[in-house]
Amino acid sequence: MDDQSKSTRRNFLTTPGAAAAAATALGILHIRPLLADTAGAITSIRIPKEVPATLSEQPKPGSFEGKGMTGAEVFAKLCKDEELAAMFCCPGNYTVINAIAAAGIPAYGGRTEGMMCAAADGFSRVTGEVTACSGTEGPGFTHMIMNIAAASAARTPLLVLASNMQIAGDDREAFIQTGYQQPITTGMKKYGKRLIAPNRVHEYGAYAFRNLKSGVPGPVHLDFPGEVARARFTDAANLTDFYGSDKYRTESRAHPSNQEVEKAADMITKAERPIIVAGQGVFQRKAWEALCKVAETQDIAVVTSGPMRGHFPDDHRLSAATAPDALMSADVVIFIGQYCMPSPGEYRFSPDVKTIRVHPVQEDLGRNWPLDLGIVSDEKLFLEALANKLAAKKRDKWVDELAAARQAYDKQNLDHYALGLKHSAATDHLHPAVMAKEVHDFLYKGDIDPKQTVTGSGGWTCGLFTGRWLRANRPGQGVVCAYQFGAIGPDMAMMIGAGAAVQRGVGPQKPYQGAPVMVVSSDAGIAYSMFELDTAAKYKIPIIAVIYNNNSWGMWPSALGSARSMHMYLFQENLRYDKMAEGLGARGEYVRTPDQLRDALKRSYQAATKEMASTLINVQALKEFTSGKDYPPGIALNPEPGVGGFAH
Amino acid sequence: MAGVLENYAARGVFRGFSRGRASKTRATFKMLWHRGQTFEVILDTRRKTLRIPVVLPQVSAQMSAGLRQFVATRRSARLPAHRRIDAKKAAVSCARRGGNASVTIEVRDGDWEYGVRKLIGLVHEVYMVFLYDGPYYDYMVETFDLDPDRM
Repeated sequence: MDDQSKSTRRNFLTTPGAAAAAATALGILHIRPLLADTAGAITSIRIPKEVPATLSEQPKPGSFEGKGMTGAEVFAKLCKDEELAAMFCCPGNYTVINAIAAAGIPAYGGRTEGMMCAAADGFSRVTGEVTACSGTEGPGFTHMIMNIAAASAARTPLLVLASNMQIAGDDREAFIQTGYQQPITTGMKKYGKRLIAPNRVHEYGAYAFRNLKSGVPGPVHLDFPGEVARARFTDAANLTDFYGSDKYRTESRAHPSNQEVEKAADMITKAERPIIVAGQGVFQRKAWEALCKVAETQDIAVVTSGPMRGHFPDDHRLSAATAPDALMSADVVIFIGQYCMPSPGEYRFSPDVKTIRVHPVQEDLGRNWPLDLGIVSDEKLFLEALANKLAAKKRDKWVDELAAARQAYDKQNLDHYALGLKHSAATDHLHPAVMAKEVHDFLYKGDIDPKQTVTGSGGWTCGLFTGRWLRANRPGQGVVCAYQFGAIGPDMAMMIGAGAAVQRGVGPQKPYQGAPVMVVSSDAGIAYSMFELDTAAKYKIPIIAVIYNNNSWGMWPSALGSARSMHMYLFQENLRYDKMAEGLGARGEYVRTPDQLRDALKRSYQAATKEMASTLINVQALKEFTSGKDYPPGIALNPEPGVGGFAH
Repeated sequence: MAGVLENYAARGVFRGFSRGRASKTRATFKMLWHRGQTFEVILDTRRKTLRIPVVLPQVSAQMSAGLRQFVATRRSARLPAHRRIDAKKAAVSCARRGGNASVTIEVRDGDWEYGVRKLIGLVHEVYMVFLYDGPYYDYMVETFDLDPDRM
């Protein structure tokens, strides 16, 4: 692109359209449609030519030459050096987001800051990489709060960025959007800082990445006053601690002692029915191969936990993810990388089970769950050491018990499905058990590689059923959208972020680069993130959103028996989310029967694969399906740990 | 027996534990346990029983029948031996009195530790398996005064 055709702030503002838009924004006058072809027919939804054009531009990082680097460019350079995987934002914090995009970091702009924060979380969850989100000071930043909290609960290495006025205007409520950000993220971040010294921008960037990439991850929040973002540096000497990551952080990890590994190996070897709870740390540390080796050496059962699933395949003969009946039989449980620790009674283990816990940070060992053996260690290093220490051992009876438990769980789910089919036929509306089973069969029993599609789910009634049927057969294949924090709503945005990672083939998504992703969520949830279908369309990230539409918040039974209350739990009935999706540039499908859903899934997957088009499938249901009395089983609670788990 | 219960408390199975009154043939113990409830265990050496008078409060006749059926499966040969309550060592029964479901284990061979472990294991499974896998969501919300978002 030559300089004359490039859109700059200056020449944009001098065009008639921009001037009129600016005038409208200021409430000065009303203008007629500017495009000639809108005079007659309504124009089609289309992606502006500037989108592909600017996405294909070469990176242009800042330089100390000439006018020098801005503080934002110094920070962007550090982000690039640290291989920040992606940034999701809404405009605002302009200097910083522009610098990050210009530096060559994949950048995405969406419709709300909150959902862009969820998208960044989703990208990170399916890759384990550090991602960023950004918004403007005040409204944009505070809009992100729910999803910063969700990322914190999920221990996501998320870099939260926001502009924050000028230090010179502190305490004066100058113009608009003044606010102190750091107190607002207290309790939901690992580290945070309002940058106030321009020459320390690199130093604090290093603080951020040291926290993001060390120990147990978590969100890091930096807010950038204008003095810092717009400061100019023509010489590296003017920046404090301006050196590389090998100087400001280390890749050294805690290693277990030989004695500790021997003790763990002894306890495991003596056990008859050992089980590993492979937490998030196993995924974060990409320790899935070591995990598999340990499990197979001694026929140790494995169940995954955490905000992402698949670091041990659900379809493995040693998986207990779909074998809840067997959990209570375990005589030794080994928690590895379980960042969010349950208490006894929250996981379905026997009161007599012995416990080993391996965790990278000493102070968390013994929290919530008393230990028989606690080991401070990096997850991968421990698993590798254990694999070397364990002698081969077969546990045929335990393996048989796992298989029987899986069969029992399958039968329970099929019983729910049979009831759901009956309810669906009787009401001409789709029961969530049927929806979940149809999605399962489509993704894992048909022509699609069962390891291919990354899925996520949310919602209450539908989420409980869907959780039972979604599978994760390879690392990064499953996202537990509502993990721990229980946010209803970010699901689709989170999965658009996951879709961006699949589109780019990042980390464990590499073999499935370009495949569609799927989210199963609810009508309550979709209200929060629906507009991001525009973002998915803009960036050609193919997502299939299966939306269970029961005309209500799933908690509507809470209003039963309470005067003047039920109206608060209900929406208009039969809302057409599929039509709304069409209005946002996605495809829409409307289904009420299993056959219709099956066909819609096929069409949607085809459109996603061939045209990179997204689809929202509106699954029309009834709120009454939540009632166990009228439509058993009503709610199908999921035992943890296991496929349906979302608390720990 | 007290030692076994105390050990469960020390291992975090119970959130709280205390010994109650004791005589030559009878002793009571209290535990703070599932759903934040206090459970009482009554040891009766004369009858050779361990009893928890209120395992589940305010159960319907239908739910009580479901619980009896569940308890029966804990004795079943279909359950793996390590999970089963061995009829030669202990007899287990449940009843509904005043709307509350109780569980009693009769120790048949003098192995009190076995009886205690099976009793605690059984009540644990009532909360972790019976209530979760059965149609008792509404019961849990109403009886334990739960916020339905927090199960």
